[in-house]
Amino acid sequence: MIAKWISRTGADVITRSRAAFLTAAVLWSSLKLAVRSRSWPRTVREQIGKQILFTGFEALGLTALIAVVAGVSVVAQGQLWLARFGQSDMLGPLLIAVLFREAGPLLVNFLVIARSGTAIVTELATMRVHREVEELEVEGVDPMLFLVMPRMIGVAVSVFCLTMFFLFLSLATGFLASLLMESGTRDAFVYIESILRPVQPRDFTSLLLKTTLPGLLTGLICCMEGLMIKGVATEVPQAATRAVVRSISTLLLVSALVSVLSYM
Amino acid sequence: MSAILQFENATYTCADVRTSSVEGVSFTLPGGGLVQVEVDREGEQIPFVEMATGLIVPKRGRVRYRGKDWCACSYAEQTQLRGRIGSLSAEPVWLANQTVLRNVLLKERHHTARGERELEAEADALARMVGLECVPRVRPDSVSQRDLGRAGLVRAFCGAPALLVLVLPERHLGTGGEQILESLLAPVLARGGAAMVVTGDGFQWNFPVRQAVDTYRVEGGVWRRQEKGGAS
Repeated sequence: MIAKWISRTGADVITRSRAAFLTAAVLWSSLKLAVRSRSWPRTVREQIGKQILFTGFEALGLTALIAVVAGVSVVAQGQLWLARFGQSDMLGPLLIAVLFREAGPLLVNFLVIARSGTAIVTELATMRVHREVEELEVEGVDPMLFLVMPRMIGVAVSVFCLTMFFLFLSLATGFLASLLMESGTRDAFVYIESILRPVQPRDFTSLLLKTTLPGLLTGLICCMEGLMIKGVATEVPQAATRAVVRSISTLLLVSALVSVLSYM
Repeated sequence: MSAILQFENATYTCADVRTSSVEGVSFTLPGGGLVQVEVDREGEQIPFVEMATGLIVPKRGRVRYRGKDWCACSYAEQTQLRGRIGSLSAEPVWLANQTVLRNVLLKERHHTARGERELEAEADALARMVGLECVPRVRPDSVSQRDLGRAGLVRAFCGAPALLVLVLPERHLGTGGEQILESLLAPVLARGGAAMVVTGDGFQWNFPVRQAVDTYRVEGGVWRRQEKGGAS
């Protein structure tokens, strides 16, 4: 019984380690590919543009909704608790700590995984089923260059831009909410100053890492899961589930790691 | 002229559903040359067509394209070389998220810096030669199978392919297909390109340049040269 459990656990660890090494290897080759100037023909640039349009631009509405809700919720909760301790002036730093450092990048990454990650994996898996990926090879077009690299870069750029948009909107909504609740400062400049004061250079590094790194990995994992199916339609939903689970696990891991490295 | 494609006793054995096996493929296709290969049943052409384009590796023997052994080339070199091969499969595959025109021009747009207008004009001129008004500017799911087949021919001939691999083109060309294929092939061969045309169901093209055509036959996975007059 115990031997069986150990064997199962060992096999699971080996499988996960292999997947992690494979992901790291593909990430490395994609990044190597991306820095070569001849890797950027117009077809690849178009794919990146389309990915940014779909993952970034078309997600602005939903991101705005989440940003408004997050801004109002954090302000409402913050006011409630800070007022109890007579620390209403700390609203700006609290918003920075909650939204800027943690919740903003996480929420946007979740949104992108749910919205674009699933779309990428199903699109590529369907392309495998219809042998479109093989057709690319026949045409002398490297699928890694045409399908994987643009999606990785497109998702990373989109996550970063959406996070900036999210932060701006949630902080602005926070100020408006505090005005409506008649708490905190009524002066916008004082509010902005209270937000910017606690921001340190490492916050920007952390924000950059927490957006681009999970973005690259989400794009990569979803592409890999989509392209690794053997070509049967029933594998498509299974690949989508695997991609979402792996992307979320990776996001949480990377986020926690960056937080620890930045603030400990 | 130097050889464009050279098979040296290439053998591929495989037992999967899609691909069959082929033994002892040997021939040299020089610049300006044309070979016609007859297959007994559909799917038999897959191994030698894919070996010709470097997509699969022969278990024995070797395949050279423009003097280079496919096996000795890096993946990046292989994709570059494939950029000069025009191919038409028995059932052309299309990228569903792009228009037929973008599909047709994909290889040229990816591998060259030629202008969009020039490429579109070339594709439309080829489309008129195969009986289409122009290359459809809509996605493949809105185009009839007949037109997609003909657009597949346009895709194969677009750019200046050094090698053409056409599988069952008779399927996509109706009456007058011979003249159409001849008029498409003539400039490519005159430029020093070469072509391999695969036919099935006993169909044979009677090209006006027939004396320059070598004919081979694949029977039960065995590659044979077919002498002129039909005897193997």
